[in-house]
Amino acid sequence: MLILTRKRSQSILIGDGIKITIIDVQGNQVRIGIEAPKDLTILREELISEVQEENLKALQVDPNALNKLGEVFIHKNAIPDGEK
Amino acid sequence: MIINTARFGNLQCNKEDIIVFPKGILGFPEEHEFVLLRDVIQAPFAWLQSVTTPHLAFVVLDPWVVCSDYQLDVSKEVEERLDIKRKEEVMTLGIVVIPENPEKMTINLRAPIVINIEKKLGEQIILSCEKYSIRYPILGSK
Repeated sequence: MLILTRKRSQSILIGDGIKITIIDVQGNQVRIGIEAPKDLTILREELISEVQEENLKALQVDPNALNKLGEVFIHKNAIPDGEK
Repeated sequence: MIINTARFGNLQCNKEDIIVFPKGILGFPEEHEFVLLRDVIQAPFAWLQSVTTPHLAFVVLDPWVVCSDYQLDVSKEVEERLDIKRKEEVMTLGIVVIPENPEKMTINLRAPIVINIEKKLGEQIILSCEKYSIRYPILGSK
């Protein structure tokens, strides 16, 4: 891994299209600005495990809740004023 | 062909209906084949059922049903992997979490499933856009 030391407002360039700037440093938090081609996906790494956990959670569907799905969904969406 | 499912027993399916996920679904990298089942659940919901694992099925929903200004930015890489040439080929689904109290159900708008319906190729992508929640309340946040 390449390790560089940067101060606030200093930047790093990666290739032609990517610029990473240290915006602010406070305690153990660093704010980073990223300029990159729009097409590039930039993610916080932990997002992937969050999505994996959410997918796992999605498998546990309560059968009773499932039966009430139509009732709940259509009631709230198709006739939003009806519940008052 | 017959697909064995935990919720619906054995289902007759056409081979052409199988959607291939070359990278699986996040957390399930070995699951490459799914079918979309619409007539066994209240519309507009659908089930995305694994062809190979009977208990593996997700409730899914078109994200625009709950978020009319939803913006889907599909990267060039994904377009290439899914062989997407035209917008009309794309179907987008959000995975739904239904807890005991269905009023609290949520949809994952941050990591939608993108499917090329013509070529039957799919992938779960993660959008860069921070404003889309992994747990967006389908029935509002009250």
